[in-house]
Parts: sequence; C-alpha cells; structure tokens
Amino acid sequence: MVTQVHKIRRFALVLVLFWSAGIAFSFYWFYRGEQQTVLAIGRAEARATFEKDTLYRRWATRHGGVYVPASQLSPPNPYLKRIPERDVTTASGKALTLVNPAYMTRQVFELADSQHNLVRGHITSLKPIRPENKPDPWEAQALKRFESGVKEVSEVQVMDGRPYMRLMRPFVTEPPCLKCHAAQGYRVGDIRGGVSASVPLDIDSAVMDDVITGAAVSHGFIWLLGVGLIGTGARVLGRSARAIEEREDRYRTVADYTEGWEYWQGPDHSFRYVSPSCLELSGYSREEFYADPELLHRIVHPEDRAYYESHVRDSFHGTPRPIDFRIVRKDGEVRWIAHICRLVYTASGAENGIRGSNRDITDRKLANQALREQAVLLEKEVRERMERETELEAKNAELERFTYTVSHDLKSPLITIKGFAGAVLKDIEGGNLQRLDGDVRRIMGAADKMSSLLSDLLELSRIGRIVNAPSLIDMNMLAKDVLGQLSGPIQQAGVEVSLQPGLATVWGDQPRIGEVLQNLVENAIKYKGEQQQPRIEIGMRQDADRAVFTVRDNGIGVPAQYQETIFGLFNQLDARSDGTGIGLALARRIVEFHGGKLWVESEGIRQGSTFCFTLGTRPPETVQIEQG
Amino acid sequence: MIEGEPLCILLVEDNPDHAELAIRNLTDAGLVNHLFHVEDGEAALDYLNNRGRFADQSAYPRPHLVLLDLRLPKVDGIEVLKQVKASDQLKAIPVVILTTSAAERDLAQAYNHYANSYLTKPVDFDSFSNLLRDLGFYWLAWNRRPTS
Repeated sequence: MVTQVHKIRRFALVLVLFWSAGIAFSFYWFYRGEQQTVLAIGRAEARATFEKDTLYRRWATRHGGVYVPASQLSPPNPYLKRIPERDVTTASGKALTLVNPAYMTRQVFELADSQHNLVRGHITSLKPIRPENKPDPWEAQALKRFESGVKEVSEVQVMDGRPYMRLMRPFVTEPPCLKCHAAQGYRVGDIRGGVSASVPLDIDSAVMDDVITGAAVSHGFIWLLGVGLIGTGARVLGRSARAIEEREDRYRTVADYTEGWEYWQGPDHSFRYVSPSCLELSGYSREEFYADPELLHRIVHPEDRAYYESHVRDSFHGTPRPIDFRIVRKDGEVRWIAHICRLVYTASGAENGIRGSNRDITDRKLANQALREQAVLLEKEVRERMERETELEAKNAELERFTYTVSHDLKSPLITIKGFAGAVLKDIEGGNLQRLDGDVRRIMGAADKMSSLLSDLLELSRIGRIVNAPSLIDMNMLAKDVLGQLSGPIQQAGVEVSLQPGLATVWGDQPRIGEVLQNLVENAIKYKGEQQQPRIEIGMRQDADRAVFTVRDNGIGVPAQYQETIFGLFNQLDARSDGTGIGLALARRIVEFHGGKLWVESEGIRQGSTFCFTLGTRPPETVQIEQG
Repeated sequence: MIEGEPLCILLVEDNPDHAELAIRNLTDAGLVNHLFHVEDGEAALDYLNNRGRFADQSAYPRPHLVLLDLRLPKVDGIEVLKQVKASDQLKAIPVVILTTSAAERDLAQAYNHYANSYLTKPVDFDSFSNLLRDLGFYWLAWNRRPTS
C-alpha cells in the first residue's frame, strides 16, 4: 500500500532532482557565457592590437620608413641593401639606418615577446623577403584562406603550453609598399601576407576562474538552500501525514474490528460509516449500505418496521431509546437485533446525525423464549400436581373418615349381638325366660342393621368404580320415573308432589342421577315430621351460570348447625329413624362425581328444607379414578 | 350403699340396644338408684342444665357420673364434653367416655377436653358386664366426691 508518507518522499526526491538539474544548467549557462566573454575579450584585444599595429606601420610606410641610430638593437637591415640611402650619417657624424615598416613591426613584436603577458604579434607572408618571417602552420592555413576572400580568421590555440586567442587579418598591398616589394611582382590591392595577434587567454581565464568559482559557490549555496527547503518541507509534511495515518489507523482499528455492527448516519440519513461486521449480521456488505441509505429500513422485519421507524424519528429528534427488533437477512433468515444509538455532534457542536450499534441477540431471545415456555410448562405441571395432591389429600381424608365410620358402625351391631346373646345365655341358665323374646329380636335387628350397612357400603364403593356411559338426561323424564317408583311410600305418607316443567337437560350417568333424586325424595318423605299437609316440589332455578335443581319439602327442617353434619356417612339426626344414614352421603358422592355440588338450605326446625344440587354441563370423564 | 346416698347416673347413648345392655348390667350390679338415659347430645346438655323438658331439678337431679358416647345425633359427644368442662357448675361432674371407637384421634380429643376416663365398649358380653360393674364400683363406691 502506497502511504501518504511514501508519496511525499518520492515527490521530494523528484523535486530535488529537478532542482539540481536546474542549478546545474544555470551554472553551465553561466560558465559558457563567461567562456565566450573571455574569447570575445581576447578577440577584441587582438583586433585592437592589430588595428594599432596597422596604424603605426601605415605611419611608418607613409614616411617610407624611419631612420634610427644604427646599433646592436637595430643593425642595418640586410634585406634593404638595394634601397638607396639605407645608411646615412648626420652632419655631426651620427650613423643612422633605415628601418622599414616591416622591420619596425618585427622589432616591436620581438619586444612584446620578451614581455610575458603582452599581446604577441607576428608579421608573415607565404613569400617573405626575410626567411625568418615565414608563417607557422596555423598562419599558413589562414593565409591560404585569405586568398579565397576571408577577411579575418580567429581561433584559440595553445602555444608553448599557454592558451592564446589568435587573430589574423590579411595584409593588403598599398602604393608605398611597392618601394620594397615591387620587385616581387605585387601590385596595389594584392594580399601580400598577414599580421597575426595572439592574446594570452590564461590571464583572462584566471580572472574567469575566480568568477566561476564565485558562481559555483553561490550556485552551491542556492542548491543547498533549495534541497534543504525541500527536505525540511518533505519531513514536515511526512511527519504530519504519518500522524494522520497513525490516527486514521487507530480509529479504523477501533471501528472496523468491532463485534457488533456499528454505523454512523449523517443528518441526511446516509451512511457515513458502517463497520464490516454488518456482513455477518445482515448478509449485506458495507458497500451496499453506503450505496443505499434506505437498505436498513427495508431489511427490518415488516412486523417491527413501524416500531423501528418511530424509533428512528425519535432518535433524530434527540430522544433515542434502546430497542430490540428483527431483521430479515439477505438469505431470508430472521435475526433479533439489540439496537442502541445516540446523537453525534461536530467539533463546533452542530448536530451530525446518529451513531448506532446493532448486536445480534437471536440466541438470547430464543433461549429466553424457550425458558418462558419451559416456565409456563413447569408452572402448569406444578399446578396440576398441586391439584392432584389436594385431590389426593381430600381422598385420603375421606378414606380415613370412611374407615373410622365403618369400623365404628360395624362394631356397634356386633356389640349388641354379642351382648344380648350373652344375656340370653345367662337368662337360660338362670331359667329366666321372660326377656328372651325381646333380646333375640334385638339380636336379629342388629344383624339386619349390619347386613344393610354392608350392602350400603358396597353401594358406596361402587359409585367410583361402576360407571354407566354418560348420556344427555331429560330431568323431567327422570324425575317422573323416580316418582313412579316411589308412588307407594308417597301415597302411604300422603305427600303431595309437584314437578316443575321444563327442567334443563344435563350430561350424566342416568341411573346414578336417578338415585340422587330418589334419595332426596325418600329423605323428604322420611322427615316430613308432624306436617299435616306434607308437600314435595321438584324444580330448578338459575344461579349465576349454572342450573340448580331443587327438592323442596315442608318437613322438619335442618337447623343451621346440622346442615353439614347430615351429609356425613351414617349420620342421622334422629337415632330412631329408619335407615343407616347413608342416603345423603351417597347422593352427595354421586353429585360430586358429576362435578357438581349438593347442599341443603333450611330456615331451621319445622321450616322445611330445600336440597339443592348442580351438575356439570359437559360430559364427565369416561375414566374415573378408582375409589378405595 | 357404701355412702348411703342415692346415686345418680346420666347415660348418653343413641343406640337403644347398647343403652339397654348398659342399664341392665349396671342395675344387675345393684349400684344405681337413678339412671337417666338420653339419646342425643342436645338432650344431654338440656338435662345437665335443667332446660326444656328437664327443667324440674328434683325430677332430673344433677348426676354423679356421666356416661357419654361420642357419636351422637344432633350434638356429638365431644361437643357435650366441651360444654360440660367449660361450665363452672358442671365441670366437677366426672365424665366417662363409653364408645365403640378405639381411634387414637378420639382418645386424644377426649382427654384434651378433660374427659375423666375413656372406655371402649368390649364386643365380648362378659367383658362388657365386668367393665360396667367395675366402672360402677369405682366411680360410685370407691371414688370420693366432695359433699355438695
């Protein structure tokens, strides 16, 4: 990955290269300019020297040469032997000799040569009169070029190890020249030879070297300055870029490696950031969320969408609350999301959208649901068990009561039988016979009582075990049947019986319900008391939501304190009445087996009684729990 | 008679046969001057309190002993016992429970309500006779009472 720092470094390097090239070019340009200046100066100097020499020689030529004292310095010129008056003597005897322009020029040049740093001159020709004046190879070449019309030749040449600017111009024949050179066949205007001037360049070069050195130093400084600036700039930029990169790296690490699905929505609801983990949760990549700000809305489960949207509205208005909602993943799976969010602000405090976090809580939700279901099941089971326990306790208590009652009531006739049997034996032994008859009757009575107790017990125990298929019972029909069966005792007791028409129909074991009615009617007949006009009414009334069947009499009544006792097994209010005292207990048991209740309502002694019972309206369970 | 005093027993028994057996045995032993028999708990309480048909105190004197069955019509034996022992006038009268029940619950209940004795009716005739004779002797002959 090309980081910002690398980019900056590369850019700086390129900049340094360009800078160096620029500086180098500038220096080169300057150097070249300097060099050309030196040559131009050298050429100008050579030209000036040439002009001056020409001027002096012309002057000398016009005068046909000049006379100078003949000396070692200027001996008489042997090449002028043919010139008249080459040597003259002044009146005072001073010897003079003629110095022609060429000779003069040569002497001046030779003088210049003896001086180290002066411009050197040379007069030459392809056909010199004096052989020493023959040209060097460069001059010979230049002279040849003059003949082809070139007016000036200049070039840098190294002579005796020193660089010189050499310049040469042709030497044109003028009339006075013919004085000496006519013999050679020259005419005016002919190019007779040339004069060269050689300017030593090393003096100027030395000056130039200083300038170049100065320029090099200043260029070096400028280059260094530029490189330094570029370097410093690059370092400063690099450092801040690195700091930015580090910060970015830190925030990216923090944001991108979150377990949950983190995001930032701008005030326009577009996604400014979505953590990559959105892919695991939703099946959609962050790019899809960036491209479509409505995507999140769309994947919310349709049943939760209204709730979610109201949450979003609230959140952007500044009251975000945590919510749980479902989403439908890209692959169609439904997941539970726990969502929290908060408003975010810019550094200057302006609202800047919403920062949200979504966490997958599907497992927790499912576990909770399973737990709740389990709890409901468990609760139901516990309730059922408690009901069963209560039922069982009631049954145990009943069984205990039953055992107690049975043992007491069965023992009672036994005592009578054995007691009177003993008495009879004793009386027989003592010959006392008048009580025998009564005692034996007592024994018989007790035995009968015992027998009927046993059959009653058998009957009672059958209630739970022998069950006829439940059927829909027309209570009017049933009551008519029962009254028909009891018509004998009813007539005997002179009881007037009435039956309310339109009694409800009920579900039940018909013969057993018949027994209930029979017992209640028998009971009413038995306890009519002193009533002169005994009456029994069979009817029905509506209590709350269930029908209550009633058997009302105008007999002895039941005081409040005995209204529960009378339903006890073998309980009788009147010791002398017939029966075993099982009738009401039996009736209640049957009614209870049908899911109903049996009770008595009475104002008290001689106020009559109303025996009431209800029955379950739905068919009873076909399988009954066995009774002890 | 050892004390030379007419002795009076109240027998509370709903079973007429058992009552006859008890009366016969007690009478045969020659222990009793007066034996009153009532058949339910309500009658017993009326007798003891000289209420209703038992209002005449001279005809229905305070008994020296109450023989009380537990399972009685109307008001049962335990209730009678409770009321007797709760009454300042009656609590001094010895109450002997005479019942067919040998149930532990009945025993505990009787003693908790200050029964003076608890007897189970024996099925055997001789035992029954002996029990009643001994009972009579014990309570009416041997047992000492404060002179009222």
